[in-house]
Amino acid sequence: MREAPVAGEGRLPGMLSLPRLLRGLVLAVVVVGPWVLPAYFLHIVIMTILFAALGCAWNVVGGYAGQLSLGHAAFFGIGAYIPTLLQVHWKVSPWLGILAGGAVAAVAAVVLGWVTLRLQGPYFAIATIAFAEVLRLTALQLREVTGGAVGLTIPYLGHRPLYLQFEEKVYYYYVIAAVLLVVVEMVRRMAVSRFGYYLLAIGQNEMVAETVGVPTVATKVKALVLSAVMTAVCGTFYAQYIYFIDPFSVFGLGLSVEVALVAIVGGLRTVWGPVLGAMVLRPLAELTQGLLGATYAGVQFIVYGGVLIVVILMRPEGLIGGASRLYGRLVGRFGG
Amino acid sequence: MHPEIVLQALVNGVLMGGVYSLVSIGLTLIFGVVRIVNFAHGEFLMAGMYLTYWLWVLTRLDPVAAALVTMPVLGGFGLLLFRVLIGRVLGAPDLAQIFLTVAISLVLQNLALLLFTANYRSVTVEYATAALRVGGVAFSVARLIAFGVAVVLSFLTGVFLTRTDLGRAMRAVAQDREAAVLLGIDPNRIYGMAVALGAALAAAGGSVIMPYFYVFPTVGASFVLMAFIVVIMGGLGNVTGAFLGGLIMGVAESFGILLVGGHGGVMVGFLVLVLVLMIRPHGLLAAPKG
Amino acid sequence: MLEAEGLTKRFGGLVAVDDLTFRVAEGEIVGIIGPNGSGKTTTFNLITGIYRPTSGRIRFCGVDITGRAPHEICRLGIARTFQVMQPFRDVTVMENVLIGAFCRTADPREAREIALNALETVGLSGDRGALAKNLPTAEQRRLELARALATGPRLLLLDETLAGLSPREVDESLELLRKVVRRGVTLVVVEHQMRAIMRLCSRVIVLDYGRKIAEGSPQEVAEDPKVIEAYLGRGYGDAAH
Repeated sequence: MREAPVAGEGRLPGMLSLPRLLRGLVLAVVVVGPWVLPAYFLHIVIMTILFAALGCAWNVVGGYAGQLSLGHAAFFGIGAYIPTLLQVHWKVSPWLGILAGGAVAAVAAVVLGWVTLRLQGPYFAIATIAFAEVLRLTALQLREVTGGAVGLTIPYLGHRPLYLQFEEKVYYYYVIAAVLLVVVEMVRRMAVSRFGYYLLAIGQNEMVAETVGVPTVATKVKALVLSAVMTAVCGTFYAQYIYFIDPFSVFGLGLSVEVALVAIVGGLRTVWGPVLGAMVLRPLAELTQGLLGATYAGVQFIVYGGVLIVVILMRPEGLIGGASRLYGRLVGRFGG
Repeated sequence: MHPEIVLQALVNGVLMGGVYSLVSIGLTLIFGVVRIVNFAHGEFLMAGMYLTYWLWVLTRLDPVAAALVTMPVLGGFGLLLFRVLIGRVLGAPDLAQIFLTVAISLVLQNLALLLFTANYRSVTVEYATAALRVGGVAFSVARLIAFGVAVVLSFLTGVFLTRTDLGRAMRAVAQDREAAVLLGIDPNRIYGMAVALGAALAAAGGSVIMPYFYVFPTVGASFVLMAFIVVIMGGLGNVTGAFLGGLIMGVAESFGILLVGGHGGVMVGFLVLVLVLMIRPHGLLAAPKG
Repeated sequence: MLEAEGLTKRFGGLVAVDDLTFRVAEGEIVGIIGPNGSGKTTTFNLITGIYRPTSGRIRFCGVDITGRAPHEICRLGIARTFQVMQPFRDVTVMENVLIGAFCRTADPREAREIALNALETVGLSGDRGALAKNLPTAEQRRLELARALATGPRLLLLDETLAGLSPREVDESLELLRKVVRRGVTLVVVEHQMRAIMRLCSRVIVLDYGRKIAEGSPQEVAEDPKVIEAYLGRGYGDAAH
């Protein structure tokens, strides 16, 4: 249960040494490792961390609250476009842009929440797809501002940390690792708070949740806002890291599905599940794309779709609650 | 604004709307009978378009006539898909149902990308630019044919559902699964048939628009979202509602393009969807809960 | 404590609850009986805010709660159980009750204590790690009761909590309910089992077609010709159950 993480602290001093050693080792690898990793693999690691954070953010709405969003690309795209536009047109630093992107994403989440409050299951999913599509089409339509289908390239300034630009990939690694740590810590705290339990109740049965005192509307909107802001921050990072965005890659349905998949495969309603999900799926996607993508476009989505189909057919009921006890403990599942 | 421009937009809207109706009827059938939201419906249309395209490239078969091939082929594919995949998540939680068809859609889209690249492809038939003029308004021959075929097929589907045993069985299952079972109907067979018919209708839609529409791997996405709007507007499993909704959305889109330009059509469509969902969260004709 | 005045609920042409007026005083155990479809559950849904009444008023401890959201009504001190059991299926017993406990406090530690207390009361402490859906019927009913109790209600609405229980389990449940009442909770009970109503309730309200056709002590009601007719008219089976 909840005490699980605390239980480790009270062990005998002699037994502490091994976990401590292990922890030190892991920390060393995490901090120093990236310096020795070849660039290509470091890129995979960075993308994995990015999708882990995205999966954790999605999990707040899609996992804990059980609202199956297929439109998180909307928030990702907002986070990618707003700071980039500010930078391209007014030379505003992306560090400030993050705040603007997060704020716009929060407003978008309130709007989406307000429109979709009463929708269930497939209707909510359709509405979220439509929401992201509207933004994608808007980005396509406003050619003078966004560059339309051509996309936007971020001006290269050399090593300018104040503009979130670095000569070495490894600094991007530290930035996104910090983002993931913050996101995971927020979700971890949320999961054991009243808010987290409210989401859990909503995900199970909204009507009953109301009758045991859960303000479902306010809670759902709050969850959507939290998830949207986290997702937007990831979007900003993505744009700054890749140096290029276009409507399809940041607002597209494919991205929304990938993000959801990370949480579904790793474990819904778990703190670390999406991290594990990303560790499985992202290298798979990057490698298939890297090895085959040049010759065979789209192959990583075929792999993704295939994985998703297999996962669903193996345990159509078990996706939500069937994680084994050991795995449950590993990913910190509720009440495991 | 010139009245002829408005009239032209109306004509274009209705002609396109007929195709939306056809595609939406397929979606609403699957929705109503199998109780599954088929997120891969647009890919049936896309597959129908590619098949039509290759038939034209290889044999110069007219795209409209190609519907006679694409309908049975995609129908069979739909049946297979139901037997192998979709049929296994009936009664499963929303999550499994939604993400299974989304995954199918993702795989089919990217399979198309892999096989045919992202290039826009089109056929050039002789009547591609032909048009009948009535006053200042042009009726594109290709669009007229597409509209005519779509309306005939929609009508035949209606006849099938009301006049044949299989069609009646389908409606029975849609209305009350348990009662249908008591009448000796095997629902699993009916589900498979509904998916097959739905896929065939989408494929027909794909064939008849080929003379004036490009095909590319994600072409189904915009159609399926339009079809969702139509189906939700018309009510779950309501074929007549889907037919009328298709025409309405065709016109709404046409005026959206006229007023906003480019992508305005689809955006107007989504605005309509949002409005409908806000007023009726379970669709226009669905029974209100409580 | 609870006052319903001219309560009416229409669904299209159907009048589910028709001009219903009744009061419940603090400390009472009131039974609501009636044939199937007589409006009992609808009445509960009106009191707890799941439905908005077509007309009429509901007051709770002097506060007008008509049309308030269910979660507000819960916070004011009205909790309920459901005729068709509605535990949060995929989460544990403890978490089910914790969610209820969070109605009273935002502090997880306090909520935990409240939840453990409620589980203790209904005798489910031993099962707190089990998933709710894996519990047998009788335990699921008690889980719903524990979750309702954890919200700290002053008024508890019980919708057929005895359905599907064995005679021994019914006895245990009645004992449990008396214990709840001794702690100062007022009960309104919808029940099909007349014997249980007779044993438990101080006062009974009889509904038929959404109207109140009788009210009084269990004894008086059982002898009322209108009540007998209402039940006999549709077969005595329902009432005898």
